[in-house]
Amino acid sequence: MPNTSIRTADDARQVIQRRIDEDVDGRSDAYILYDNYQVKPLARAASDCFGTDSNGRPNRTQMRKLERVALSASTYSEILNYVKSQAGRDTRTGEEWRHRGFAYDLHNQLEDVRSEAEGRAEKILDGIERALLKVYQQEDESKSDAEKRLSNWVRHEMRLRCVQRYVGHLAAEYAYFVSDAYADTPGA
Amino acid sequence: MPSVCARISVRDPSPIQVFAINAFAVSPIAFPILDLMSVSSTRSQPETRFRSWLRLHDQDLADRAKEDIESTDELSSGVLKVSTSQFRALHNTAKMCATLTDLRRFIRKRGERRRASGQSSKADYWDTLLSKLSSVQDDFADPAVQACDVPAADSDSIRHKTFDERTAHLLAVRRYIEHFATHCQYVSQRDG
Repeated sequence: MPNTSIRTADDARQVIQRRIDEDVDGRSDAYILYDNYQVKPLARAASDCFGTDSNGRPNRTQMRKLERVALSASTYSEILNYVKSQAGRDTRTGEEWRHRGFAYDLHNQLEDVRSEAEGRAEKILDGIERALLKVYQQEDESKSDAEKRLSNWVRHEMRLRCVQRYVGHLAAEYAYFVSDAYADTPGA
Repeated sequence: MPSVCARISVRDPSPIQVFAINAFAVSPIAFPILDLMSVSSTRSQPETRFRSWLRLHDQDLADRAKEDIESTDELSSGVLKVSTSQFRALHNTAKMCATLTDLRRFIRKRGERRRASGQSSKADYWDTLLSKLSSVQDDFADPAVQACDVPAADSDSIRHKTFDERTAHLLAVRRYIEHFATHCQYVSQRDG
């Protein structure tokens, strides 16, 4: 039975946005649960890189900044460019980021998350019904232009959201790892 | 004003609402208010459309910058010779330049100076970057200008005075340079 509540382009956008949200939510836990995403090893590598401050407390500034940049980013490349520019600095901070190849491993991991997110974006696009696309299409727009616009938007959203979640997990894992709570964990 | 907007956006207006809108439209106060609304409404402005386009195609520009650096000999070898501070300078200059001509002049001068002092590989790097900017304009900025109906640079439209084809080209090239300089910085430390 056709969904009669989808009448405008905004309605169509909301429906597609919900599908993106559901996909990202469903995938988010996998970043923590599966080893191939390297969240835990990267969090430990980050604690090696950034070490402690003069008071012997963990130097959390860099990871906090990374998380802040990720959360406020409007494109995926803003996040990746931040990692690249920190790794490319010829200062002490740059050395910390490059320590044992942390920045390069993080860069590669973000690229993997991105390409996987784009793959899932294709699946979302394949599942969009013709009727929904028709509503999404603007009056003065051809079908192929509407498809292109939709594809750009879905891929952009998936890239950004997935990498934001990934960086969120990484920052949380790092914060836990350098905290007293982790030191008190049996077997830590 | 919000109540007027709310009434106009009603999907199926009643006859009384239609009458009220029509009465408002012919009233002496309507013209300046409606004109103000159309100017302040950002939804259909070319600048808004273009900035939205730029955001959605940002990744394409980033991929192009990365591909240019890694697949062009002059750039892939030059990136290891040019100092890191030059990448920062390029990035900052691109942000500050008000016109594309200024940015091009900055890059051209860099190339000329390096060539004059016999540093040919560094000169090639800057010259190649200059040619890449032209292809970015052709492949990205031009189609975007058309797709977003950005007015031509010689347009005398008062409404679009501040945003035209030239500004659109500058924004696209600036974004490309941002990706280009960041990737150069990254590669120079990784491979250098």
